[in-house]
Amino acid sequence: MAATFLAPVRYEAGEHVALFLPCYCDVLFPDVGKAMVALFSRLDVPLAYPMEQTCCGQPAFNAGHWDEAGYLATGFSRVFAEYRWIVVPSGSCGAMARTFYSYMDPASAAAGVGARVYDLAAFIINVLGRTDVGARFDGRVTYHDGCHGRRELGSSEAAITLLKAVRGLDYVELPHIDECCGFGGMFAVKYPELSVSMGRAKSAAISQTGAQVVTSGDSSCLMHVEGLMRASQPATKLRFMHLAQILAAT
Amino acid sequence: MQSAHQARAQIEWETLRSAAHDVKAYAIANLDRLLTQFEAEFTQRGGGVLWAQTADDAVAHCLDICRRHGATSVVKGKSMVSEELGLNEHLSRAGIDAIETDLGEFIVQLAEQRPSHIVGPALHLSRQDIGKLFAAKLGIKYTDDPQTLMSAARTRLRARYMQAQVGMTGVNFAVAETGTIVVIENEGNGGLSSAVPRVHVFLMGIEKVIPRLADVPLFVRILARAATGQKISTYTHHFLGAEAGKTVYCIIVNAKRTKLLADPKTRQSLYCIRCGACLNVCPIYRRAGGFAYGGTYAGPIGAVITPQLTGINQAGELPFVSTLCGACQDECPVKIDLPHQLVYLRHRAVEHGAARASMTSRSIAAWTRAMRDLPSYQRSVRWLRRAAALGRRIGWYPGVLGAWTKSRTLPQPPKESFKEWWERTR
Amino acid sequence: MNDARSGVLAAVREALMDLNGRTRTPPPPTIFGETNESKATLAQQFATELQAVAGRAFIVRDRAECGAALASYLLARNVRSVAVQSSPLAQDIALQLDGFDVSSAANLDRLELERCDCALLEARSLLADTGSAMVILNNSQDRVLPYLPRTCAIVAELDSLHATFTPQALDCIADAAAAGARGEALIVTGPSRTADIEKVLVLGAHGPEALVVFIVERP
Repeated sequence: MAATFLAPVRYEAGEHVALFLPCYCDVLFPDVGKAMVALFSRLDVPLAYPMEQTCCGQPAFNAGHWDEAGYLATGFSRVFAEYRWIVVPSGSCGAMARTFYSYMDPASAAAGVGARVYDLAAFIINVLGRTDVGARFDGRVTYHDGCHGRRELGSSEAAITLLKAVRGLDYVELPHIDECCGFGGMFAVKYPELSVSMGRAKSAAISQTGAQVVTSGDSSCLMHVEGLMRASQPATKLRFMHLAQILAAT
Repeated sequence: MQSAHQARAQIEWETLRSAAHDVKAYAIANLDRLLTQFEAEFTQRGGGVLWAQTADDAVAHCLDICRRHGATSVVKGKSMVSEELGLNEHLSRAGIDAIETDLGEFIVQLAEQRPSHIVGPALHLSRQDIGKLFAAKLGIKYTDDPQTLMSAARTRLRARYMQAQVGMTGVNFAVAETGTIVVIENEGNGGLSSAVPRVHVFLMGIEKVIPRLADVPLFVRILARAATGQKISTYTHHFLGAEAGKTVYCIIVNAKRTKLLADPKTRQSLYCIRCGACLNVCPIYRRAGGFAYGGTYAGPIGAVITPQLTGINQAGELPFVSTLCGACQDECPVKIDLPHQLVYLRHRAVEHGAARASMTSRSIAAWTRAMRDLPSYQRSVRWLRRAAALGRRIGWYPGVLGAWTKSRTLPQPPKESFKEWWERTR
Repeated sequence: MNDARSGVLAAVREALMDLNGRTRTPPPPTIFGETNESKATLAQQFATELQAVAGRAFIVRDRAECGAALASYLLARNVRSVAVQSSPLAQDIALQLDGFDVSSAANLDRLELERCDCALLEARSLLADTGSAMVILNNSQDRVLPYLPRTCAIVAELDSLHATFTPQALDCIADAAAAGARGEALIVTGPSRTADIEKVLVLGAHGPEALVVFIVERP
């Protein structure tokens, strides 16, 4: 597997890290990108943003259109080819690059580059070796674990560890944390009844925690759950923030 | 967090799963050799092995055996394969009474329904439903007490075991090394179906073979735990060979399993030990129920094997009805890569041009064009902003966006994307 | 249908063509093992586990005490008739059951067996961590014995206790298989049960509603 050779290699201070920002974050949640910039600046890690990046190809892959997904994967690998370290604030895009480029074609250039992609939490804990990122965030916060981040990348522990180290943050565990929120990409609009039913279960769990803020490593999950909760409780004071935004807070 | 005890138990479970996965991997990789070894050993111990390439072959064997032994009634222990074959209808058409003895199967048979779950076939029915059913079909006084209902079934089935000329059961594991067949159950109906009639027929898919007797304890433990949370089931049978006065057959059934075997990306689905754990944890199965899968097998494993066993045209959509959350793989005692197989089968469905793949094809093609380079991307973003603004003004969104906005608010695209901010500030 | 046989095997071989030539992984080692615990400790564990699945276990000193304990257990359950497996220990204990209607299962037909109140069998192996008893059933009468009567009594030697379902516990199955023994090796754990109606647990499904094991220290 392409990924294994990375394990013993350590990040050297000053090395550039490329930001891979999911396409939907670029357009709908640019604050996540800005938070990444602020966070990495505080961590003293030079963050590059290759402007040519577009989409990792996951929607095409999940829909079974692997030719199109492969085409976008090749584009991705060209954009990020020169970077030794690539960080993405998304478990699902991270899994696309790390796991599924190789699943489609282990011999591809995309598989090689994909193996250098890290989910945000895993990068900070495993690569940078940091637990405390010097963040301060007051409030009761619960964390929703996106399925790809949890199961393909195993990054739940890392994310929760980072949250618990944030000064002033009151972490409360989400009941049924391991249950899917029901977004699933196209699934959310192809099978809306199932999607909404799963989202409502997630919303109920969130309400149980009494949290003021819901965070996650995936804005896509948050978009779905926030959409549901605001539609049913328009006056809700609940805030939905990406993990990067909390870690960037001071 | 976890207690030390829980943690140890979890580590042990992970060790067991990995070991079971590896044994199954070996068994499937050596399937032809192990099948012939099993056949030789089973035959040596007085059993007759029959091979079935297709479902029709398997049914023909069953009818032939019944004819040969003058069978007018057959008692059946649990067999998913026999469900696949629609065996009971064939027997019935040949004038042979086929009686399901597993309580759940007995209930759905009386109700003229299909089973809704691999392990608990009648769990979709309430005790009141079953009470009314038994009052109508068994002529007993209405009751909804499970104990009384079970007793009524027991009494009815006792006579059937005694009258049947042939008993048929499934197979949990077929040991190649010794020709031993392992059948696992809690009720005792498998024991009675196999022990009372003079003739016993085992029905098994080719994938049930495991290499050695020494592998049995591992699978006995993980099946019980994954299926019902028990440490071990009540009855673990190890059939050693036909005793005096008994005739035993084993029908080895392919029925398109070699299609799953031939593709390295679907091969792991043959590791399945039919425990039902993936069904129990699947958020889709729990909401949609077993009948939504339209076949013998439901849940994630059903979504993975049905397109190959039944045909992509009929079942190609099943793998799409999933968020690919992966809870199924987490639960699977043999660590089958179910979510990967689901997404792979979507790819096969698209290649095949089947199911609803074509409805998304155009949007995916458009998306790919939009994402092909930066200028195209930025044009699309501008278009999206205009469309979103329009949608907001008229309060309505077309097609898939309408499906979203029915119960969810849509995020408003901010004035400046990250790319635009980056360019402006760097 | 030799056609089907060669057809199926050919289809399997063809399906596995991509693995051809690659070294096949040998089966991994088995992972369960015996412990250092004494038989006495294992017997206690056995009793606890069996009780947890609605069975009962008694540890008795010798055959005489076993006979007496079994008799009093049967009296308490209003058992009159007993059908005995054709195995030495079971037959021997049965001889002590005065005042009961005792027959060898081999001498009874199915209907008579069905009318018997209690089955008496010998376990060749006991598994402590699950409260399980392994009985070897070689003839057609013995094979129906564990299910037909409503009470099932099993006698076993203390020495036959294993910590868990180890390969050693499988020895009796392997030996039976090697010696050409027929029928089945049945591992029974508690009375018969089902939860097929609304997941409510019911005992005495098709088999016995009561299962008891007597472990004899000095047989």
